Amino acid sequence: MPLPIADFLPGAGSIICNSFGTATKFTRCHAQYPLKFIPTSTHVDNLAAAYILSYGGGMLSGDEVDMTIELNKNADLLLMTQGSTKIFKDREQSAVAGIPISRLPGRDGPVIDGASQTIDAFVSPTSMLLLLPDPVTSFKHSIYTSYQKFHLTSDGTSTSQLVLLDWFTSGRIARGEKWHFKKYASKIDIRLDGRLLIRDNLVLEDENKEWMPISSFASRLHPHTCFATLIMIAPGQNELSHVVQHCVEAFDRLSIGQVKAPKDLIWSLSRLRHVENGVMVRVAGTTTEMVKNFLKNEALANLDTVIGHGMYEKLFS
Amino acid sequence: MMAASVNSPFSADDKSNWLLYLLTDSALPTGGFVASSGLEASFQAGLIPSASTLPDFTLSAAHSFAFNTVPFVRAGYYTVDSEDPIAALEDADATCEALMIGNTVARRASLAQGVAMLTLHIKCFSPDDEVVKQWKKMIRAGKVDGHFAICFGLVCRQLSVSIENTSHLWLYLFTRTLYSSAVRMNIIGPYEAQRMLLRAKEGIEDVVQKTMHLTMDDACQTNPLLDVCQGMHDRLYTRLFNS
Repeated sequence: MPLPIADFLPGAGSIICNSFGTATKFTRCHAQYPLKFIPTSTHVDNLAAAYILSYGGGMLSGDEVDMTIELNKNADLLLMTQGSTKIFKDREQSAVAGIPISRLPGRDGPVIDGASQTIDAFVSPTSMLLLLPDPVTSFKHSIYTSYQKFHLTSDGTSTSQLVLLDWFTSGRIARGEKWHFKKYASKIDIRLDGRLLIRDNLVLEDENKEWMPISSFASRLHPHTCFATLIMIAPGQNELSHVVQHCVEAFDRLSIGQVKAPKDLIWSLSRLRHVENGVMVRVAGTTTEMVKNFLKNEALANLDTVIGHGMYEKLFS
Repeated sequence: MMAASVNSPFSADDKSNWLLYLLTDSALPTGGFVASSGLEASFQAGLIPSASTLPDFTLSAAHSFAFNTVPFVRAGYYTVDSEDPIAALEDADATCEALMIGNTVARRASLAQGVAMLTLHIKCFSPDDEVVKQWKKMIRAGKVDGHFAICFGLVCRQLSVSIENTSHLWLYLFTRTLYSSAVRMNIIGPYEAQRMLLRAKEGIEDVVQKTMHLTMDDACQTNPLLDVCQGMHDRLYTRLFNS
């Protein structure tokens, strides 16, 4: 049992879930401003759920959010956000955006460059964790670093189950901001019984010495504006493993022909060889809506059998 | 011994030059012929609308490739300095595998070329190299995966190539493969390919400099669009290359 992090620090939070027969309950669900958790109901047996929020709907430069999640025996948890997480360059930018944020001091050490988020999740062999946030939208000049670590375990009979969606957009397209952020970095580590099995590390950083209307990485991503990574691990035979298998079948059915201009929605799938029913799906879309629809209708089709129809519709609305 | 300075990638040593010429030969039997460095899938996905967009594509592909693999080339290079080189190789290989497992196509290319590189070294350069022989044995026995970047770094080190030349060569080979694949796919002609390859020098060297000091934990990809496309390779209806 890992020690709880010091969740009295600004931006820190911890969730501990235990299952009592047909219900997973929050033994702990605490977050310190500007982080906030709002538990909600899934109406599905044994599946607890909560929304993760940042006051002001986003993160400021200097904000650090650290979450520890612990799912004990048989506990299942669904975590979501309420709307896209916005990454602001600074307080002035967020105020101009009409979102006033006041931030309490309280963290020791030097001020970090940009906003950062870390998640440390410990999942028991008989537990399932679904992390399905909205995409991250980074504003002009902002810096964002995310590090998510998942510690899955097995006990000979069962292995932890995980659904992780990590996605982002090119920025506030409506304001003409397309790939105007300074840095977006997202790192995911998945360990099984202590051994690093899967690592995904994406870094988009503007290498121009002075700001230019086109960041150094913008042209390589054109014409797509939304990118998603979906990792699903569901050993055994259950509702979630059927979702995975459905996704694999959809990919295996693809027969891709040569096109002159890039398609609006493209995707690929890799089987994660070291776990049963494990896949990593990568998606690129010219709009966020397209990626969302793809996730709903193809990659995560039948997820309603796992999280309930109500939650499924809410997630992809 | 080589005394390469950072400013001139190739030292003045005759022996090292001969070796480097050999390592860049496209007839070198390391199985690279069937790999397109992600070009085929990207081209079929419509990401390279004309020949003139190829240099930009190449630079951005090389950027992501360098950030992803140079740390492992370096790790492979320095394993022989540790007390237990095999353990150091295992550690580097396991981290590399974790990064590669999410890209079936790139992984396949990496494993095929990794063991081919070791075979080349043993058969042609140093039949008595115990570390390389042991590492190859472990790969064949299925105990470890044997990723290309690490094998490449290891072999270059055993051949006394400098670390600067090793990293430079690694990126050169990637770029060269991309342009020769483009010729075979009829995207550009052979003269155009050579002209573009020559002009790529500055951009590629810049990328090598940016990645020279990265650790394995820093290894990352910088082009998610390319990543999606490369994963599509096995679903292409018709294809010339294996990856």
